[in-house]
This record gives sequence, structure tokens and C-alpha cells, in this order.
Amino acid sequence: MGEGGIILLIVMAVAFTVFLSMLIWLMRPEKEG
Amino acid sequence: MKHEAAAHKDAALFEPLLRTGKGFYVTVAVLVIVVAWGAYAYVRQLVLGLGVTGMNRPVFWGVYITNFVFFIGLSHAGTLVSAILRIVKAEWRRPFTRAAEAVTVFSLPFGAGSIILDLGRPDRLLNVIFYGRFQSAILWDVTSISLYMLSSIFYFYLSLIPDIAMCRDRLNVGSLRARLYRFLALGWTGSEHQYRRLDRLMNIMAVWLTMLVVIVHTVVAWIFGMTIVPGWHSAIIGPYFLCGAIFSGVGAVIITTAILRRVYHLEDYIKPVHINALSLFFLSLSLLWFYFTFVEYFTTFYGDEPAHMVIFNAKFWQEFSPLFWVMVVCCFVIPVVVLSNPRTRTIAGAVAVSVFVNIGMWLERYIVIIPPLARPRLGGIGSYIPTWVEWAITIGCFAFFVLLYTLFTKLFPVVAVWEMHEARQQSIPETMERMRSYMPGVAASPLSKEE
Repeated sequence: MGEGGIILLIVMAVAFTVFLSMLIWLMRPEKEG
Repeated sequence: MKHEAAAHKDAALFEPLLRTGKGFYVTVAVLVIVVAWGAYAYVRQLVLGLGVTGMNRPVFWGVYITNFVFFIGLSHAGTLVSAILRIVKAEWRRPFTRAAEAVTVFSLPFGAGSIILDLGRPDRLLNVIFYGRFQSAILWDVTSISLYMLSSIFYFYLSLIPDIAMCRDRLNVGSLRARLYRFLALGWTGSEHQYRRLDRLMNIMAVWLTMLVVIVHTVVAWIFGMTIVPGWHSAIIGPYFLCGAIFSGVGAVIITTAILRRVYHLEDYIKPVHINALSLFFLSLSLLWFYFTFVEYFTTFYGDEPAHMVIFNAKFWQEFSPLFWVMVVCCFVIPVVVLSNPRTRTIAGAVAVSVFVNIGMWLERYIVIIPPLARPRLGGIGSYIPTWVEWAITIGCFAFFVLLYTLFTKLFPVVAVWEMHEARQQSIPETMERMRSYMPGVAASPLSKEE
């Protein structure tokens, strides 16, 4: 894989992880008290 | 629960999901036929090669790259109307946001896909991954568009979740659709804390997407601007493209919302006052676009460099002049004449102007791309006439975009129900409170904080 593939892979992996974390946070039940 | 109350009040927004008339099937059938025609043309191009198109040496880019820039531009509508207006708390945005975000999500694949159509051999797209270099503007382009597409889909989905949950809880539909709603709702309950978190996430994403819009279209423009080709090598090509993109995108939002209003009887939600606000914004974009166009061409004319003047003359007086002047009429003369007069700034007037502007903006992309290739710096004159294959694929792409949009309107509410509810519950009191804080001599509400 060339420079292009590495850059694209890193950018997309970071974005996907951030968005997934946001969804998990959105759906997490609120803590009691 | 909060979202149940919203669903009851806005029952009209769920009607299109439950009742389907004959018109819908006829529309879908026509669109499928057009898409099939485009698909046939593409298969022909794939089998016989790019020789079936009008592209040649030296005009190696044509209608497909024009479509690429045009569709990417169209996609900025959703972000602009939804994200930017959300950031500035423009309350009139609410009936438009869903329709605008859908324009973004459904037009982006055709923008990115146009590059694949232009390649002739689609497998060569992988060369960006295997051999792409950091210095290549194409690599920045693929990266920024991919990121923009992922971010837009996520933003679109975030704002859909509460409405999908309402569909899940309220609609009596077939088991397949019910399962789809259950899956996509992700267990949304509509509790206060979920709405609070959603609001925070939407705000974060709105800022992120606004930034991305600027980056994406500047990078798209740099594919041209970073070369030293006369007619492309210009410092303002980035902001010029961005302004044009937002301009055509707002036009697309006006057209789609007006059609949805008429077809799904959403007169109570999308009112003339909304279209009027959007029309005034549209008018200011037309003036801004003209300013950029004037600056771009006047600088070239005054500099009088021979290589640049060849392109200038080709656009102003020679073979590309009909397209150039039609563009000026469509993007400047018609919007200014129609939208600056309150009598003609009606819904019908705004829709007509939007159609002209989108034709004009497509022509603008065409005359940015083709003339510099047809008048190469080293001399000679090239010509380019698109063939039926290119037109069939282009029309097929537009029909596919409309088809996806049409199917979407039958599965999900086209106006964000939860946003309308939020406006009634929170925004009206908040806006009144904000107004009180601006105005001297108005008694502050007991709710406002002591300074």
C-alpha cells in the first residue's frame, strides 16, 4: 500500500471510531443519582 | 414520553409513509427506465472503452468531471441549510433541514461516482490507494470527499434517530419495515437526557461539517487551481467554487422543498415565509457569485497575458460564448430580476429561479473545465462534443438521485418531527428570552440570570 492508502485508511478509521463512540455515548443509559 | 407527543401533533408528516398514490408508482417506473438507459450506456462504455465518449486529446475531461464538480456542489446544500443555520440558531431552518440533508447524502455518491465513470477502467481507482502520493491533489480530494461523505451520513442519521423511533412506535407497517425501524432506532427511548445529548452531538457535528464543506470544495477546486493551466491557475478558484456550490445547493433545496410541499401537502410546515427567507439568502448568493465572476475575469482581462487571454476570448466572444452568456443570465440576471421584486419572490418564482441557477451552475462548471483544455498552452485548438453515451449516463445519474430521494420520502418523514416539536417546546421561549436580553427598556424575564 502506498502513501495514499495509508493516509486514507488512517483518516477513515479515526472518523469511524469517533462517530461510533458518539453513538454509544448517545444511547448509553443515564447513571442513577 | 416527549416523542410520542410530537408524533401526535405532527401526524400529517407520517401520512406519506402510510398512503401511496398511483403517482408515486408512475414516477418510480419512469425513473427506473431512465436509470436503466443510463446503466446500458455505462455498460457500453465499459465494454468498448472511452472511445464511445467525446473525450479526446487534448480535451481529456468532459461532462463526467463537470457532473463531479456539480454534484459535490449540490451536496453542500444540506450542510449549509442544516448545519450553518443550526449554529446561528436561525429558527426558520427547521422545515428544511431533513430535505436539505437528504440532498447532501444522495448527491454525494454521484459526485464521487462521476470520477469512476470518467476513468473508463473503474479498477484504476485503486491506484490512489496503492500508488497515491502525498503531493497529489487527487489524493487530498479522495480523502476529503470520503470523510465528508461519512460525516454527512452520520449527521443525517443522527437527526433521523428520534423520528425513526417514532415510526417504530407509531406506524402500523409490514414486518420488514417494522424490523428496519427497530434496527435503525437503536433502542431510542426519547428520554430527556437522550435529547440533551443529541442536541450536543448535533452542534458538534454542525461545526465539524461546516469546516469540512470549506475544505472539500476548496480541495475540489485545487484539482484545477494547483495546475499551471491558464484559466484554472487562480488563487480565488477555491472560494469561487465554494460560493457556486452553496449557490446551486440552496437552489436544489428550494426545488425539493417546494415539490415535497405540493406532493405531500406540507403547506402548514413549509410556508411562503420560509421560502421568502431562503430566497433572500439565495439572492445574496447570486450577487456574491457575480462578484467572484467579475473579479476573476476582470483580473485576467486587465493583466492581458496572451496565454490567459486565449481562454478569456474563447469564453467571451468565440465558441464558448453562448454557454458563458447563458450562464450569466441564469445565475445573475434572472435571480436578481425575479428575487429582488417582492411581487415575483413567490414560491413559484423561487422554484423557477432555482431551476435556471442550477442550469447556469452546471454550465459554469462546464466552461471552467472544457475551454482551458480546448486551448492548450502549447498551441492548437481542440474540440469536444459530448456523445449520447455521456448524456445518457448523466441523465441516468440525475434520475437515480431523484429515485433515491423519492424512495426515501416513503420510508422516513421529510420534515424532522422532533425538531418541530423542539421548536414549539424550547425555541420559542428561548428566542423571546434572547430578544429581551438584546432590547433596552424591556423588562427581563424572572427566568433570566442576574448579571
